[in-house]
Amino acid sequence: MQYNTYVLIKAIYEDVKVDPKTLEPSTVGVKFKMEDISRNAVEEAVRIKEKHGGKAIGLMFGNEQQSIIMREALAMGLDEGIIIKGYSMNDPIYTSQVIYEKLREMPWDILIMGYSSADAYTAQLAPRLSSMLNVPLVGNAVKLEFNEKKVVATKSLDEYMVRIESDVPVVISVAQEINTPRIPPLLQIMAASKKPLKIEEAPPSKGTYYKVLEHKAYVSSRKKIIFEDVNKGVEEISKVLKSS
Amino acid sequence: MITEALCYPEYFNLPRSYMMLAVYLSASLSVVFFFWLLEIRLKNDDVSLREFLTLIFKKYKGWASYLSDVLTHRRLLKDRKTGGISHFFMVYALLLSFIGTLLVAFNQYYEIITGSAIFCGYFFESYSFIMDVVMWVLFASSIGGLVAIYMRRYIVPKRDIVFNSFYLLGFAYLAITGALLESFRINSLGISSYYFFNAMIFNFIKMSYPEYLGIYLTHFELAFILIALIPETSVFHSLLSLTNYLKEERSSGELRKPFDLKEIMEKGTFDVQVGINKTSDIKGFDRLELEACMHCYRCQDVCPAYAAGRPLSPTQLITDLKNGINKDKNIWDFIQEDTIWSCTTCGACVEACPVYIRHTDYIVDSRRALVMNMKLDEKKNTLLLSLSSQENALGLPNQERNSWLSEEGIKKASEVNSVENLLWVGCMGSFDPEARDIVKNFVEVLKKAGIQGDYAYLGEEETCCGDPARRLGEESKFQDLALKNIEIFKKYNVKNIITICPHGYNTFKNEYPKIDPWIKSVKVKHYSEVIQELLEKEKIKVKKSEEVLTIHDPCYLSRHNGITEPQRLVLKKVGNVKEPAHSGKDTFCCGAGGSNYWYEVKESEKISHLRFKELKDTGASTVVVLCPFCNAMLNDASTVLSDGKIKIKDIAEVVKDSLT
Repeated sequence: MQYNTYVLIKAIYEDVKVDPKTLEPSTVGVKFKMEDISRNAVEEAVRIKEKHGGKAIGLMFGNEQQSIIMREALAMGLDEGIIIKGYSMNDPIYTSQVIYEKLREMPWDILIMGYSSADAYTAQLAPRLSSMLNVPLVGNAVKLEFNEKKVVATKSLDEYMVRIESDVPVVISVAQEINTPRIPPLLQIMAASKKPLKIEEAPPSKGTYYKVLEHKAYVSSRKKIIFEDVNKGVEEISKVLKSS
Repeated sequence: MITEALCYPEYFNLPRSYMMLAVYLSASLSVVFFFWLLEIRLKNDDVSLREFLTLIFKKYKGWASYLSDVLTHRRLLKDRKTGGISHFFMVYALLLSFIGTLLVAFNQYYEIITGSAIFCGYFFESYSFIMDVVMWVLFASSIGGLVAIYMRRYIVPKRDIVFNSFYLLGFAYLAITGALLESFRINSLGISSYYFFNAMIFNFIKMSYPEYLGIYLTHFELAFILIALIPETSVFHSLLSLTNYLKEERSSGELRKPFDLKEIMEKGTFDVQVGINKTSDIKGFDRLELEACMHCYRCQDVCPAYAAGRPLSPTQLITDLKNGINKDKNIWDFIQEDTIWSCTTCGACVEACPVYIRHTDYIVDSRRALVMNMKLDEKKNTLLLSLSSQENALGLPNQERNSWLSEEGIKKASEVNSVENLLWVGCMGSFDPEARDIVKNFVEVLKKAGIQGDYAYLGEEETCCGDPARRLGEESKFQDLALKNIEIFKKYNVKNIITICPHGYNTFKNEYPKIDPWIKSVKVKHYSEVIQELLEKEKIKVKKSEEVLTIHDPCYLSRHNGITEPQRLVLKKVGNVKEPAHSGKDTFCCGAGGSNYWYEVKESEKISHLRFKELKDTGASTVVVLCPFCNAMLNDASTVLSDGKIKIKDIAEVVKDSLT
């Protein structure tokens, strides 16, 4: 059976500079990159398509400037990309609403995404969408096997590996261990500009439930002790550790 | 001398005009068949006879150096000397036989025109002596060739074994029959002289005239048949080695450029075929290049990856590609990916190959296919991600990159209008603590000479030179980085680039000109050359110690770019230099080149360990390196194998410590 797979992709900042005085992050001139586990989700979506046929479509709630990220995902093997404009801050309630509005318009079989994004770590999107779309949730999967209208997923828990079966359509969140994502060369990313990429407007937010009160880097004070004699290093370090 | 009157007894009682007709008809047929078979053979590889001949004659300027290589047998006599000597004798025996034939022909026309022969007397007798010797040489080397075929029986395709064996037996037959025919003629004339010693040896064979005639006809007909058959046999390697030699004008450090990224971006034609996935992706003269391989194993003998037990034998790889060339096979059905990743692109195989095959071209092209197919493991992917995200090989943020250099009196490029000497610090020099020490020591040397103010650095604007991307097979990223870097060099009107790393040196010098010819106006120097110049101009002085030093020449400096002298001139002034088994252009890789520093391949012994043992065997207490990658690799090897007792020092450190 062929599947229509949608994969959620998030763009996050590459590396945020920290102002040493205020300890606040500065994103001026900082590039975007594909969020780490989104990359695994894209890889899995492409693998499903390669194995079973069907279509793999990227869905991103972000902005136009992040289209290079979607192009990278298209270069990895997605067939189409959709960017929904209007992302301003991390708000899983609004994001899930935007994705829900989009997906309810069209037929799909699998909605796949990273378990949690590497910038906000809320891990809310999959359960919220599962509930809103009224389909089963397979969370934190490390292995997926599809057979007709069923999927068998392996989940990694602290001490156990659990295999669960679910019906398709299904919402799946994946863990980073699920695969090693392919990295497209620049030429493939450029070539992906020929693949269909739609940019759409997001429906208006129904209200903000979150407010960022403070955003600061950790204060890290270093002892700045330098040991010149490498042979005595272990001894000296253990002394310092014991005394602190 | 026997008698003044003795001349070459041409045709020996046979009617000259009929014989001439027979010989020239056969010769003409032989030439016609030669070109016919040549055309068929070339067509098989999508090369027309015209293209083939055009290449040979258009690039006539390369003939002299090619011939000097072939006539001296430089590459063949370097390793595997028994085979090399046998080949040497074979080539010279054939050459002298050919000259003998030309002399006979010339003599014939001369006699027809003037009525008197010139291949007479002392001239004839001495060349007859030479030909008598040549006969034995040709016979022995043909047998040697058969032995070589037998020894290579597991790698040489069966068809080639049969064909080449018959061919060599043909040579042996020509040698023996040539001697028999000459002996018959000389003995019939009743001459007994050491000039014709074969006649004395074969005097016991009593041949009738019809027998002589029979042998005579088979002798020259076979010779013509063998000439006609050249394109269909492995002897064709003699011609292919010429086209291989002439077709590439790239230095060994320069890789092929499969596409032009700038052009692709302008035209929007991204759908280009890159790399080798199928044997049919190898085209034209590249197919002929592979077909020149005679399985001599010289490339395998010098390959560090093979020596380390990695799954790469350059001989086997080229043979596999060669055997698959007419079958349109998927190369990944018969070549392991790790075979392709085992190569450090050190170029030892290319330098050793007597028929000028560039193994690394095929290896990097295969890598390019794997990159396009996105079939890399995690470590290689990490390198690609580092290069795309931070544009440096270590994937570290470029903020404040090398800002410490300002405190040392090196100017930041963005603070000056024009840069005379750009100090290209490189990814390792910028981010690796040990490599940073190399830069620090070099700066100390510059400060001692009082010229640190003449240098500038790029800081945050410095990215990767592109070497790791290109050698990993990510050509588009390499060209992207090169284009950006060239724009920066233009912006600052850079006149000289001084690199710490030989990889940057090589890529700026040999590869950037194909990206933008503007860079040819920029002089690229390795810092060892700068140190040598400073010493020569007495801008710095060093004291000599009794310390025994050995030099590890980096492949990308010494083999690919021939820089072997500056480091020796410098080090001889500071200590006693002892050369390792492999040095200068014949250096042995440290194991890091060809992006190998960034990933791992299964091996029975590390390449760096093999090299370190060689260096240690010199008895030197210090190994001097000239590359941040060699430095890292050999430092690890020294820690493991000598508990760090053998010191690995960079040339800048050695010089800085010896400054007076």
